[in-house]
Amino acid sequence: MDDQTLPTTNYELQATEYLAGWKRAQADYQNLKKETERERSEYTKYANERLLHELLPMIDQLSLAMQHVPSTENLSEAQRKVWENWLAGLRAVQGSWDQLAKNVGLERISIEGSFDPMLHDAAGEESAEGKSPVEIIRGVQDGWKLHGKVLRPARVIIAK
Amino acid sequence: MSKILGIDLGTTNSCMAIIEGGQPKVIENSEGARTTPSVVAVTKTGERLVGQIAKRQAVVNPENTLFSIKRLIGRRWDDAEVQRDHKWLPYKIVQKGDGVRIVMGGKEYSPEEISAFVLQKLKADAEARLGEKITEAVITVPAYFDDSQRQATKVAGEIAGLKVSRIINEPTAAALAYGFDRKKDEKIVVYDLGGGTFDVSVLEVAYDAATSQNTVEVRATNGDTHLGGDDFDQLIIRYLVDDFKKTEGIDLSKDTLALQRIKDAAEKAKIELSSAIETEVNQPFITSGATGPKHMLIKLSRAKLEQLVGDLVEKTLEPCKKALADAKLSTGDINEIILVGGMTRMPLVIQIVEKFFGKKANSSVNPDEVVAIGAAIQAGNLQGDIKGELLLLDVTPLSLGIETLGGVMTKIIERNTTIPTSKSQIFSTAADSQPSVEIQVLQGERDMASDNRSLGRFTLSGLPPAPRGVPQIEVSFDIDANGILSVKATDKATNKEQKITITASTNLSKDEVERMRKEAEAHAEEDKKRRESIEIKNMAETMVYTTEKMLKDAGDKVKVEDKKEVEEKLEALKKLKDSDDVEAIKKAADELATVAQKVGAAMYQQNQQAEASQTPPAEGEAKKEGEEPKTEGESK
Repeated sequence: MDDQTLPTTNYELQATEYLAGWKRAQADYQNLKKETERERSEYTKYANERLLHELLPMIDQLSLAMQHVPSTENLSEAQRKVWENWLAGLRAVQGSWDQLAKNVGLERISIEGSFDPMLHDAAGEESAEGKSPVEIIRGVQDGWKLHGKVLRPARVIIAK
Repeated sequence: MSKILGIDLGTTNSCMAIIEGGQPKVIENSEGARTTPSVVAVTKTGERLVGQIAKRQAVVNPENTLFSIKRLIGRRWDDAEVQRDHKWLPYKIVQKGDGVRIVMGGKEYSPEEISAFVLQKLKADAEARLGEKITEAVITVPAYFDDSQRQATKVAGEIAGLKVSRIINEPTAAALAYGFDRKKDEKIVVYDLGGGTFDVSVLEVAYDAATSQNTVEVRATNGDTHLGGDDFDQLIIRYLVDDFKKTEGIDLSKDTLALQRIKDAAEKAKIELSSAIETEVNQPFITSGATGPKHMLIKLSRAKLEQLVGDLVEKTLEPCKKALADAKLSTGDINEIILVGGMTRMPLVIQIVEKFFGKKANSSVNPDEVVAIGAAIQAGNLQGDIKGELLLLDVTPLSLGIETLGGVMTKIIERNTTIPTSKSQIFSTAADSQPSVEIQVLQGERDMASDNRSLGRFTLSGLPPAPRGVPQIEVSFDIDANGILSVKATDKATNKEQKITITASTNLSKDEVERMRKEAEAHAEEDKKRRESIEIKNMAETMVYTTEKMLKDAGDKVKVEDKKEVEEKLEALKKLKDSDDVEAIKKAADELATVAQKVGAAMYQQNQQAEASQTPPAEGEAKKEGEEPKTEGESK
């Protein structure tokens, strides 16, 4: 832009300023529309994120309960059958959850291999034979992804 | 020109915001969170982590996971604060010259370099969200930061690739977020209780003749650098551990895994008790005892929580008293109180602060984000996005619309719509061969036209004769930036138009607007019933009209017995449609619809059978018209 076309008068300066402001407002509006559209499709995809996040502790606790099934060694045959039948029911409940999880796009985070802070939350470290440092020894709490996005990282113990 | 980012670089968490469309907006980071932990780490494999992912490996890598760097930035090695923190920080800090260096992954870093990693992440995440480069930022610092600390924060920004346009005080940013900078001579207290620190500041808004603008001055500041939400969590954890020991005889304080679960549960319970009176800490299989697994099932009431943490909250009052004394003010001199930091959501905190200052505190802006929002507003001011009164946009205080069939108000522009704005809607006629439409422009929130304020009326005449519901009359409302309302009605068939200009649509006083709104709320239920009743009657009227037309058009195609059935139901509806028995009208309309549909279906079937036995029509033969009348108030 040469000197002759530069705004010089007050009105011209004001007009330039207003035009710039108008353009900015238009641009912001267009961007807002795009952002709203992006957010809308995210909401649709992740609408249940919060609810599922709230449900996860219940699923964890069911999982914990299943890890602490008492021994049936000292029970009679009849009592063992009753107990195992009840357990079968609980396992079916767990199975229902796994099916639901699959249907809504939930996926358990793998705890194979090395610790990855994008997927895992290190709860502690232990010595373990045959495991290299930062390799995951075991899981303490399941982690979940929802449609590929980490909903909750898996809590793991890693090798020293 | 790229946007300037507003950044709250916090001790525990950071937050960023930007001005978009003249309004501040918090930007989410790449993980989708609105705040980012101010944590940096180097893993055993040499990878650098920032934010939440750095926190996730803190337990197994404490010497190389850096947090609370803000406590060290810009300080000298022999500062009392540095020497105090040196004792408890799990990572190594060393002296370099008279400054401080932090050891991470075997290398030494300055506090500015570490803070720069956090700022770099915020910058990158903002750029990814906004789709544009960010080169400038406004960063906030505590009001008590000295020159050296401010300069070091600026250097951190520069290392991160940001030109720091301004360093502003956190309490000032909070005041900006509430717009309190516009209130001359106001005395404002900002009470900031965050994750790890407590700050209280006394501000005064003064008029600067040199710049012809208001400035916010910090009159006094005080606080406790080691008092925050984490301390509250620790008290709850201790209570839970002690209670469990009493009932189960097992000490969980040495069980790292159990403690992590208890810590999460404690924080969750603390948050829940801000809205609930009681909660339960429910952690089954928390540990194993001699007799098998043990469960932590402890009820925690709000009263108990307040008993546990009451002393901590009371501890915040002493700095408040000192700050007021330093500012030579009393509690009665304070005009506004602003609450900042997540802990200020606790009802006990709000109660004690309000009791101390003798007035209600402001917390309507998210206390975790208010400082970043204020930083964004400052950024906007610098950029010219917000220029005092020039770009302040008004809103319509009350809804605007017209009167439609049955005396109801049909809203065209909802209240609180930002102006300038335009909206239009298509309407039609209520009677056959109606020659004109009267447009009555209304303002208010009530459902019935007569209960609202009439702003004006005009008539659009010269409509060509047509069955009711067929003409298309477009009614457009336009409000310009000065609040002047223009209402235009255009007949789409003839392009005939008529309009009216009203200057008084935004002239109502605040009190009058409030009164009208409250009235609408008070009558909401009865207005709703009246409106429903009218809509049902309108629907019944339309149904009578369309069914009579259908019978007329169908002629002898309809079986005699079917026609008789329809006519009976039609008569029944005609008798009821002008009554006030909404349920009876609905029932009669449903019954008419059922029999009319049967007739309609039979006609279609007949038509198909006739077509099947006929030869296809020759080219150019016109099809019979079967247009449906438009519904009243059909939208564009």
